[in-house]
Amino acid sequence: MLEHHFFRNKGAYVVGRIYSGGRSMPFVLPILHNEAGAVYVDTILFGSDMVSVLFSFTRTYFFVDASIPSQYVLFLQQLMPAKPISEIYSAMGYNKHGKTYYHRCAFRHMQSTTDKFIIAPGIKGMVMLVFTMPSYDFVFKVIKDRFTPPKDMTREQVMAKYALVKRWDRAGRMADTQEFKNLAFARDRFSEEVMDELHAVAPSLVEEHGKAVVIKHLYVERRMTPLNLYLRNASDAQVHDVMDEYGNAIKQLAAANIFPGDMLLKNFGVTRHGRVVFYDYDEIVPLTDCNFREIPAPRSEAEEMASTPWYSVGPNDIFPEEFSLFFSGNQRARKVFDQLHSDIYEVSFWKGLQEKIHSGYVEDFFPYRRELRFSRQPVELTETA
Amino acid sequence: MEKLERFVRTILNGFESYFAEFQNVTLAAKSRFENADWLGIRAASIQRIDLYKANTAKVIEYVQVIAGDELRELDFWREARDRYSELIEGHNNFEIAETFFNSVYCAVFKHRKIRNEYAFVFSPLGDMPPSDVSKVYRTYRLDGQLDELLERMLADYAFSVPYEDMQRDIVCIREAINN
Repeated sequence: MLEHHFFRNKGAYVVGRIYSGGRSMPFVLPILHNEAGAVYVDTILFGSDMVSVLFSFTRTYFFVDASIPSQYVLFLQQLMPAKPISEIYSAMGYNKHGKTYYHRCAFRHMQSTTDKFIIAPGIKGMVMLVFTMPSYDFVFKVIKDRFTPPKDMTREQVMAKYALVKRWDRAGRMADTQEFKNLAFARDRFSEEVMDELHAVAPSLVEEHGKAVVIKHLYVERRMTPLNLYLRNASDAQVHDVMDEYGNAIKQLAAANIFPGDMLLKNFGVTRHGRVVFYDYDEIVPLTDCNFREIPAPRSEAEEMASTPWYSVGPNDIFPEEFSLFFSGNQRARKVFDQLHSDIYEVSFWKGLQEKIHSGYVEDFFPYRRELRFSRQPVELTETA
Repeated sequence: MEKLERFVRTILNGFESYFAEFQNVTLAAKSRFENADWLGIRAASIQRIDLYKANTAKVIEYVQVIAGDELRELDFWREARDRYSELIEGHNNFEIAETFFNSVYCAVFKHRKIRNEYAFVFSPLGDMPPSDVSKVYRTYRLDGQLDELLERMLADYAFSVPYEDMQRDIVCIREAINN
């Protein structure tokens, strides 16, 4: 077992592996504080997948007393062979070195593959051009020179939102990003489609120098399946699980004082562990800056029939009863969602959260399913075999 | 070249200083947990992210003074990279020290002219230090009762505040393992 605890948010974690009969099983003991002068073991997590979710790129970096970080990184990598080493460095707080490591691996990936860049699957963004490679687990996000109307903001504003996410508690629901300046790619790896699109929507950021294409600014992020695409091929059971996750994502973001602004399904991704994660940050605002309102009742028939709102709307006004519009066209998903999370349509739900945040309350973000938690009921002591 | 020596030593000192501050924020985390200081943990988290930029900025001020006219000379940086690499050879955390050097380089050249001759696009020393993982873990062998082993383990990972009910936790863990 690694000799020092990992700390993050309200939890402490002891990480190790069990050897038995020549086989090894990673495990983690999450320890919580009862805020009454004592601690308790909340559960035990087994297996690579559960440890991997704990060390996810969607969470705030851990504190761990590791004077030689690479020793911890190597141990953790043995527990989670599928996790990139760059992300393990980042998870321990060495995100700048994680970036170096990522870049070295990306270079090698390009050397050892031949496939071309493609536009990332999903609905095209109004603010970002997103491309990837079929063989690659990451996406590249380039801010467009001009945003598709009605999107009305500047490049600097978008970059400020990404910078905010980098420092904020991502609560397991926002993807970490690495920001690159002047990143060079081999020109021959771009399909004409991607090259044309880059020149069309972000000409100020693209330079071609012989065999190289330099992109002056971009973000790299882990690739996920856009939620709207995931739903298309999902079974009923999958729709149920992923809609529950989607609701939990919105609620946990809110508890972390983030209002996503644009909650369209396409702005969320599904990870390989089936978790729903937000990744479109241009509209986010601190929840405490939002003014949640009910739509006023119309005072006359003319008002009711008017094509524009009959009430004035401030810039931070938000009307939760309109949230069902985010399901645009996906009534199957909406029906399931409404059974699980209809409280988000209520103004009182959001105001309640705002009050909690104002009072200084810090939410628990469990990096495991709640049903795994131990009961904390006193047990009868019995003789063990 | 005496000036080059001072230049690379300044960058390495900058890294050590960053690393020490990083460690100190980290060392306080256990006490914050014990004190249930959740807002403090959040603030420390942001503070630690911001340390990097603050520390590279400090170093850049010094290296500007030391390098003078040569600050933007690529030949100077080529020699600096080689000398720095010699300096950190055998360093426990040379890989992070290389990243720190890269950050100083990128700040000077505004993220242009990034080549392996001038910065550590790749590491001449390897991707990771040859770390001995066995130094950082404790081993518990099951010789007798599982409960007895779990009790020793929880005692080793105890905090300044006690367990609410250690026997209960041991039973829960044992049952989860046996299932």
